[in-house]
Amino acid sequence: MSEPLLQVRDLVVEFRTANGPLRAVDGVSLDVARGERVGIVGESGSGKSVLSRTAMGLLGRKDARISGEITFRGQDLLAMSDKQRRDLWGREIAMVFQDPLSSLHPITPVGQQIVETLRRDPAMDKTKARARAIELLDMVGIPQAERRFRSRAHELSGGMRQRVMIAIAVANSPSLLFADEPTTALDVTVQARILELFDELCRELSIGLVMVSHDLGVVARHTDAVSVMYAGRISEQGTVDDVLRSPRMRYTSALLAAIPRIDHGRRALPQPIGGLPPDLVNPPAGCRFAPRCAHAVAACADQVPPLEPAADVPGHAFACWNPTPTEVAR
Amino acid sequence: MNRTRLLRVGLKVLRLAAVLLVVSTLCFFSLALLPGDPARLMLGDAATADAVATLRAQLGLDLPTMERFGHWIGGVLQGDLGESYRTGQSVTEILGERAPVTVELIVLSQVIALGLAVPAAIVAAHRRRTGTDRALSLWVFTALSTPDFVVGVVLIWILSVHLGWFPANGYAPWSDGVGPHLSSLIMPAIALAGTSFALYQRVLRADLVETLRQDYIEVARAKGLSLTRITFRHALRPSLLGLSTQIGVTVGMLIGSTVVVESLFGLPGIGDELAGAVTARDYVEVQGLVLVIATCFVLVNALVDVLYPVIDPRLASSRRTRGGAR
Amino acid sequence: MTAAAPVPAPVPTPEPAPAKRRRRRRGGRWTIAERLSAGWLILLVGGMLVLPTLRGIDPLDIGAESRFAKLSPEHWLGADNLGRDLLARALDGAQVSVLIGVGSVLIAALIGVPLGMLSAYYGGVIAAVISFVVDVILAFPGLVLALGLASFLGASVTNVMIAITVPMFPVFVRLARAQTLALLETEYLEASEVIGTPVLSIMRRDVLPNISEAILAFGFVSIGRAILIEGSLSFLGIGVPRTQPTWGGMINEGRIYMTTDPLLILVPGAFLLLTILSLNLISDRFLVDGDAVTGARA
Repeated sequence: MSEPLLQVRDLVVEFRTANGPLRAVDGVSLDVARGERVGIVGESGSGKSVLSRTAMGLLGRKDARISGEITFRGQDLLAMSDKQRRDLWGREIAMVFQDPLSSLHPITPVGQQIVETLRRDPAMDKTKARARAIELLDMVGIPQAERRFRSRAHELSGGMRQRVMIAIAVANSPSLLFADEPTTALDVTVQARILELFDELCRELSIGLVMVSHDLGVVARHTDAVSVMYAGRISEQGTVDDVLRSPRMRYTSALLAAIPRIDHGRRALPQPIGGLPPDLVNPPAGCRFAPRCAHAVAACADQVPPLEPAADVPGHAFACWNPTPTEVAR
Repeated sequence: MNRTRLLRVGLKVLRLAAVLLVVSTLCFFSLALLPGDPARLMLGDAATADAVATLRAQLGLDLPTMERFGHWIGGVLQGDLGESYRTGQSVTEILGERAPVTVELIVLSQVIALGLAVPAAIVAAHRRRTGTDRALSLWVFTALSTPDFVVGVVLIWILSVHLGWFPANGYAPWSDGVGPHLSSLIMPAIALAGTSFALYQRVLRADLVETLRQDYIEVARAKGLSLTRITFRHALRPSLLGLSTQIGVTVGMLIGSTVVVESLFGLPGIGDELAGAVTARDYVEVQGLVLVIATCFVLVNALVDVLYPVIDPRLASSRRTRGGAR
Repeated sequence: MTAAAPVPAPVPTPEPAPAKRRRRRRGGRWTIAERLSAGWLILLVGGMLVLPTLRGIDPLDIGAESRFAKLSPEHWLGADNLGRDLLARALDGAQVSVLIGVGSVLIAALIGVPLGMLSAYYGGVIAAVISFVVDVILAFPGLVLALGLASFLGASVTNVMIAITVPMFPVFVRLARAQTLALLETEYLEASEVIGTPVLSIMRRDVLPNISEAILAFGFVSIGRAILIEGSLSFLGIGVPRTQPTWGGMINEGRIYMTTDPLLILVPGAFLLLTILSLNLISDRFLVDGDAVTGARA
């Protein structure tokens, strides 16, 4: 494969707070290739949403202290002017947000909101944009698209709203799509269909997708690669198979153990992770998961474990002083 | 859904009618029940008892109170508000002459107030908690705290006396030409606009700040839209509810403020007339004018109520309107 | 207006970017503007009580030799066209303004708040009647009603107070009702009811303390508003007897001399502006939303 679509290197995002600087993202690196679906998993507050917003450029130097590198198709996103970045948004890079009700404009008809995005392209006139918007509504699976064009957000169901949001995001066939917990606000039955829609669109339009979720199940079934985030850092990274089938970092294992599941006829009781994520203003000195980790060793308390490639599996990296042994993992 | 809305509007109208009926009753009885004989007051202490009695008969004051009330209400319903004790002119005639001046003054002041308040609110909301926002807020507070007549006096002092740009006093009708007409209204309009400007800026800024925090604004940003487009196409309209309520309330309030401003600038409007009538204790005129002012006030507020769903279609389908502290 | 402009308030500590909650400022540090406001109000009330006896100048004393006196050790803020001391007159006017401002708001709150609480608690017919009365009174623009009442009642300070109270108390009713309604939805009041606590003591012990902050904030703005109405009435020469010095009256009388002796309007104008501004700024401390200030105008 040629150069990746999105390349994030050593990204640090720091907010000023009354109590001191808060590092929401701390030294994260990430690659997304064209057509690749990358999942970012973590608890709330792990920095995954901040990461995606910064990677897209929505969160800029005005809002936080940012260091590191973000390159989109070889261009330095952080060095761009507001205008240059805006030119990318909605055309090359797009985002689908968590809550479709609050993300859609309450008054403007939904069709108009798609048209507005389409009209970013100067070649689009009003009639063409309207026809295309109806096409898009149809494509994301909204029945009677023509009629729904004039609907307002509160008149649609949750799933429909998210479909509209997706239509808005893919309107100009972007090459990179961020999805921030796109199904969290939806019914479980609707979730699956929305996720399938993402799969389909990524395949057909060869969109690079960054899917942020707290739901391991979602990531397991609908992404190719995954990064597990904990307290602003990436604790484990690799293909979905490697990371979720044979997790090495103790946090990943703990997360997997916390999911209620029935598999192979054997019922395993979920084991919740005790304790709370650390305070990011005053994080623990060593491994940030150490205070909650059942397998912490002496080194965990005062030395930061580096994110290192696994010896045997290429592309699988983890940051742990006392990794889960491979044979124990299923 | 439509039927219930119709019913709601109907109930509102009924309630309005009831309020207006009570308002006019109050107007009348405040005159009838208060001590002091209008005829005696008008003629002064030196007048003979005979003269007072004659005037009483002339004015119909010798009839029983209820009968007078009947007459008056009957007149009001036919558009007859009685005649001024002072001039003998009918109150409706006075209104016809003077209302246009007041209406124009209020409209002009609202144009000025909104013309300043909307940009000021947008700037302040975008630069929340910066020096610009705080400077604007100080201006707003000062405008809010300065009585109209103080602004008026200062305007006369600077713009008329020192710079000689506008006449300090008096009214030039349209027939004198557009220039003189407007320059006779501009200072009173500015004096009147101060409070409205302050109220509008505060309300709109607060609502805009709230709107700008909404997810759909971030979505609009993520679409790559320009700040101008986001502000005017996405943020402004959902933020107009508070402002429109405020305009309704404020316009009503302004009818009161015109009393002071019109007297100060010698404009022949309703406010000036009311001040004169009050000073001269011309009760028939006062009650007529107050009734009309109250009616306008109530109607303006009702109009805003009706306009809500137009401003924000979400309200057409939801049961509650905002700020319903009733 | 040459009145010293209060320094803009310093920024409160910036909130972290991701935090989206609206923050209330109450209980925090006093900003410079708020301190200056409080300072002015204390100075005003102190001066109003102490200075007249200390200086021994009668606000009504006419003196040919001191006509249009400038700032001087004898006349600190100058004297008017009849040689009357401007500071003495302004302080005498302050007594009227403060008395009417505080008095009418106190009465309005004492009538309005209980009515609002009862209307929220009982609902039904009581609420309907109260809300109708409120609607009727609010159908008149405040200043027009005050003007009419003041003229019907005749010139006296007490009558002006009544004339201002009447259009003001309905707003207290609405505020107290809205606040109480919001509170009644909370669970602990339901618990209190279930236990069988008498209504009056629920109101006093549970409701009143919880709505007092909003009412206090509104009260401060209303004092400013009352002083503003009093000023307008006095400016028009209606209400307060003309022999009594008032800020509005002083401005009205000083207008003729504004080209030659602007002090005559500047002194009362500054007193009026600073006092209302201070009250507004202090009430803003209690409610960041600005509900209080905007509401008081209704």
